[in-house]
Amino acid sequence: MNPDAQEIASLIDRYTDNLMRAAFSLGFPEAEAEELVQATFYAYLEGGSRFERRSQILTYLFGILYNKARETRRLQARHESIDKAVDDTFESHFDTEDHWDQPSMDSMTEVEKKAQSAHIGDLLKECLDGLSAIMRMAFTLKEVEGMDSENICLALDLTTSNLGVTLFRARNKLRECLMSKGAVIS
Amino acid sequence: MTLLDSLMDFSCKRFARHIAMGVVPLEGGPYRRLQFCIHWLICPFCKRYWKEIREIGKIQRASRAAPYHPTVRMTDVKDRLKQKLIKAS
Repeated sequence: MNPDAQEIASLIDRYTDNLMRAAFSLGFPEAEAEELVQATFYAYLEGGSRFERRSQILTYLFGILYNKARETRRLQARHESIDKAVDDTFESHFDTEDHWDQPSMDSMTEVEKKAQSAHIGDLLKECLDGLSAIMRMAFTLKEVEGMDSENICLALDLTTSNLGVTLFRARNKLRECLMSKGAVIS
Repeated sequence: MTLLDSLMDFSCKRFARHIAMGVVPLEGGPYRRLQFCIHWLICPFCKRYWKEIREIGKIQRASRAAPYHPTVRMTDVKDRLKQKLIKAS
């Protein structure tokens, strides 16, 4: 079945914002993000018959976008070393009884805290660059798009437990990064 | 081990893992959930960690909403996509 012009226009109107946000959060600049979204729609329209109704269209589109993004050089390599570094840093915060060993971020004054909060969004954006593609995508779908775990797992082809580990690493990596930049989060 | 000791027998690491994963239910039934809640109440570091993890999500939502939604630009993007995709279909 070939969708008509109206169906294509409706698809674009409905899902472009979500897909552009996801492309940006994967670190693509504007022009490349638009190309990625275009390639995602192309793939969907060409392979629409393969779309199974067990997921929502948006979930399916996120899955295509993520796979297309992974094909680009930008997102290849470095994942394993990031995973290990996050796990090691997390472990280093606990004593032998598994309780916090390094209460942190207490040294800043109230004035500094106020100054920080003004651009904490910028700091977070910088910190996102340190995440692997799967971490960025899972974090964005969960926190920004508000998708439920089942749909994120479908889009990214993850088990629930893998998604949990991915989010655990993403959140801790972001927290560590913000702390290292002297940000006060709460 | 007294009942009180047992209720407080929940490690910070376990708490932090559960909070940061956020998608898997806590194993161990109602008693484990009670231990989790008690730990949240009595451990200032874990309460703080919980707030920080929650806040990171909020900041990300807020910062994503602002710069990537200038209506005019997204309209342009959509127009270009429509032109290309409709032509190709």
